[in-house]
Parts: sequence; structure tokens; C-alpha cells
Amino acid sequence: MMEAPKTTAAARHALPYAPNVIAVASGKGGVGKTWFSITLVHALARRGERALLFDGDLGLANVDVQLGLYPASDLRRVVSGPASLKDATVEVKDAGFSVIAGRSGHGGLATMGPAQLDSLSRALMTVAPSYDRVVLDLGAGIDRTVRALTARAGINLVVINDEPTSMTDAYAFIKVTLQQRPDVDLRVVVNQAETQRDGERVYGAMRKACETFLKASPPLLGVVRRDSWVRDSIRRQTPLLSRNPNAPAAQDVEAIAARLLAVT
Amino acid sequence: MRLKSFTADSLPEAMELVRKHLGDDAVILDTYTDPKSGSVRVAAAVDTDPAMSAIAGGDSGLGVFNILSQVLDFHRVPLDLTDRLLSAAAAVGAQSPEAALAGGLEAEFFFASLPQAATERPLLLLGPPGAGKTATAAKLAAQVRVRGGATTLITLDIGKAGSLAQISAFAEALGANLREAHDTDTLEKAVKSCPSGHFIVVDTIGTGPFDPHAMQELRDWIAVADAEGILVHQASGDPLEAAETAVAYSEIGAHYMIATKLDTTRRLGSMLNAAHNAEMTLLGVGTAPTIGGGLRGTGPEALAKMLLACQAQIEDEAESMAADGDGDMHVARMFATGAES
Repeated sequence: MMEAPKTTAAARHALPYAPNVIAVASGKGGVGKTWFSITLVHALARRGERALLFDGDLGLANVDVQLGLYPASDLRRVVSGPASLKDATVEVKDAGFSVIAGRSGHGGLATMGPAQLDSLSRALMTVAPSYDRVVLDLGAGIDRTVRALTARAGINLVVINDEPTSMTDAYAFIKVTLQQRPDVDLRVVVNQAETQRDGERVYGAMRKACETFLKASPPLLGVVRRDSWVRDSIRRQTPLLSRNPNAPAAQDVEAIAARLLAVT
Repeated sequence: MRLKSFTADSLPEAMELVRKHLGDDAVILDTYTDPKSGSVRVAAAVDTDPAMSAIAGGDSGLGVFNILSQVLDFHRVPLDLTDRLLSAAAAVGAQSPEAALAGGLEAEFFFASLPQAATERPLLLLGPPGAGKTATAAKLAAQVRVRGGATTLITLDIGKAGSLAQISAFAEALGANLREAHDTDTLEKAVKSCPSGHFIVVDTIGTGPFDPHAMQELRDWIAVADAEGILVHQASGDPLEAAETAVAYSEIGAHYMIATKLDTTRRLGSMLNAAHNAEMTLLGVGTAPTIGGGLRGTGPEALAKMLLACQAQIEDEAESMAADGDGDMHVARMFATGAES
């Protein structure tokens, strides 16, 4: 007789994933997701972690721009063949973390074919074991690339702000991610909050929606206060934690990094 | 989810606005009283699937939705996959069933085109016995041979009576090289000794997906040949069984799928469920026994057409069932109108 199958159709949810990958998603663009990813990876590095920023936002990648980097190569060329992951890895020396840029310079906005998508996931899985922590900056929205990369992360952070569209788009991301992986570790970060208390209220509304409609309550990882130093550091293409580690937003992200290290 | 904020002079007034605009099902997410003006702001939400209501709303929307759910039901696509396909199809906002279904398939499935020249890694065909691996190997080789590409077939399928004769005949007819391998060592040698630039296809022995020993062997073969594993699976059968089989093969490294015997299969739910559950990339479909033209590439549009081809059958069946008598007529009507029940 045939043995009972060990794997079932549900096993597709149990894709191999890298527990040390922290994915940063937002649903909507413009909530400071890329800035947050950069600052988070920097904060992790400052705590002695070997940290990598993996730019999974290949459509509108701008990690390199925000950091003023000129990488020799990028993920787009890794997934399409000619470049190796090593070619695409740049060290941000003063900050102590590495970056794999999604797109160096101004490459075209091409869509990902399935083979490239497969290769992108494989690139992430290949590179993850070489670091203590990998922060994965996802594109806005819930397209196939975002979904495929989300499935590989140990923790998914959803960055929101107080705009209604940010809430609804983040909700859509949470809904889709839970459908794909019901056991996913999802945490919410409120960015650009006027005060800590305001941020907690924004989170409260988000949690209420998730509890009511999705029967899920993703916990709050932290609130990042609105801070004029953030703009300043982006304009100067210098990480905030290099420019002014005492800025309120910098301290908020450092607290988030500490909490992340404590839970995982 | 639809989210809206309402501001009024008092909480009851704000709540009235919520009810009026979002209905009785609205959930209050947040209330805020401005300390200066005393006005109350209420944020409320209702859970709607905007994409779904777009396709279900309006004349053509409802029509498209009904046709697609009827078609997917005909193919015995499991309910959860039907749901996903319909939501994805709805999100496309297309007016025709074909475009909507193609959009849904594009969102939920992976497609790749058939190789027309040497591939980076050898292709290793695997799957249950009788799925048509050897014929598929020959068909794949033929695609490259007609474009003048050098091809080597490697057979690991040597235990079965007549199988070597079959693949030898194919190789000779195609002008392809043929090598035999018996185990990991000879397979590795066979692959390594192939001239560079050759399109290499490895044909394996049919294995049961739930035989751990055989599956381990396959995993080793894929590793030593540094090959791309391709599941060759018949399109027909029970959808859940097919999904479990495909997942088992994907776990040992098969990321692509070729569905065979489409010419003798009408209901494609099994093929869809297998590819979707195992997250396999659909590479092509076997549509005829002929080596020359029997393997076709597929993509969202082509697959949508294939799935929708059943519409005439659905109508015929509904009519003939209606003619059988009153009891059956009820069933026939329900079937013909799909989602309405």
C-alpha cells in the first residue's frame, strides 16, 4: 500500500524562508518605508549585528540614491544573469552595513518575469545566511514581487502613517499576506506620527480594522515621530544615524531595533 | 476595506453620518474630540472588496463573473483557487471573460516559454509513470532541433522493457545524441561529457511521489546533473491528488511543470490546482502525440482560451439535462447560471 502523503496541498504555505530576514512593507508608497529600512539596518549595525539592506523594490528602487551610493552593479543585473551578488553588494563604510541595490543609476522600469522573480527570491535566500540580519525593503503595493519576497521573510513589518489611504493599503497588504501565510509574523510600525500617543491611536484604528475584518491583531512594534532631521538627512544623502543620532526619529528607530533583537 | 472619516458637532451626529454613508455594518475605528472646537471626528470602515464589487457590479461585470465561475466549476477547479482566480480576474477590470481570466491567471500563475535553444542547465524530466516523460523529452528536443540546435538526450529510464528502444528511435529521428546513465556517477559523467552548447534533456524513470527512496534518488540526480527539474504530469485526474503530487515533486526541486494529454482531457482543474499549489511555472502543454507539434507553450491568454473553450459544452449539457425531465431541469438551470443559487 502507498504510504500516507507527508506533504499536503497546504505545504505551499510552508515555503522555505529565512528567519533573519526582516521585510519592510507599506501598502501605499510615500510613508517613509525606504527611509525607515535604511535607518533600521543602520541601527541594527550599530548594535553590532552584521546587517544587510536588500533592496527588493526594483521598480522604484532608491536606496542607492538616499545613501548617495554608486554601486557597480544591482539586483536587476543579478537576476537577469550578468552580475553576481558579490558585484552588487556595497559596503556603507561609516555606517557599518552592506547594501544590495535594486537598481543602480537609472535603469529602466521593467516588469519581473517568473524566472527573474524566482531568481530574485533565490538571491535573497542565498545571501541571507551570511548576515545576522537582513532588512528587505519591499516595493509599495501587493504585487507578485512583493508577495513572493514577503513569503521568504521571518518577520514582516508594515509601515503606516495617519493617512486613510495608508491604512487601507496596509490593510490590503496584511489581508493578502495572512491569506498566503496564516502563521506569518506581522508587526506594525507607525511612521511620521506627531506624538507617540498619536501614533498609538493610528495603530489602534489599524488593529481594530484587522480584528474586526480579519480576526487578526498584528502587534505594534513601534512609533516613529515626525522629525525635520529626517528630511534633512535624506536631502544630504546621509543616514540619519550618522547625521544626528539624537534626533527623535533616530531614537525611535533605535528603540525599534532593540525590540526586534529582543523578540527574535 | 473602505475607510472614511466624519466630523460633526457631537458624537451621535457623527455616528449618524457614518450610518448614512457606510451603512449599518460600519465599524468605528477611532473617535477624536477636538479639545478646542469640541467637534467630534469618527473614523469608520466597512470591509468591501472593491475589486470584487467592480466586477460583480454593472451589466457586463455580473455577466463576466457568472461566466467565469461557471467555467471554473466545469473544470472542477477547487473553491479556494476559484476564489483567488475570480478576485484576481476582477482586479483586472476587464470587460471580456477572456481578458479577465487571462489577467487572473497572470496574477496567480507563473509561466515561462519553452526552450528553443540550449538552456543554462540541463532539463531533467520527472513524474509519475505513464505521464509521457519520454515523449515530452523528444518533443522538447524537437523544438530545439528544428532551429538547428545540437541536442543530447540522456536516459535514466533503462529498467523498463522497450524504453531504450523508444528513446533510441526518437533520438535517431531527431538527429540528437543519446547517452545512457544508470546512477548518479554515470549521470554526472554523461552530463559533463556533453559538448558545450548542447541542449540537454534527461529522461528519468517514472516514480511514485510518495516513495521516499525514489524521491531521494531524484533529488540526487537533479543535484549531480545541476539540472532544472521539470514535472511531467497528466492534465486529468483528481485536483487534490494532483496538487499533493506536484508539491511532493516541488519539494525535491522541480520548479517547472509540463501538463500532458490535453488532447484527451476536458477538465483542467487538476492541472491548475497542481501548478498553483506547488507554485510551479507552467512551461507547456502536451496537446498531441506527434513529436513535431505535440508540445505547445502556454501563457495566460492561451490558457484562458483553453479554459473558456468549454462554454459550448456547458450549454449543450445544460440543454440535454433539461430535456431529461423536471428533476434534472432544476440542476441544469442552476448549473447554467453558475453563481446564482
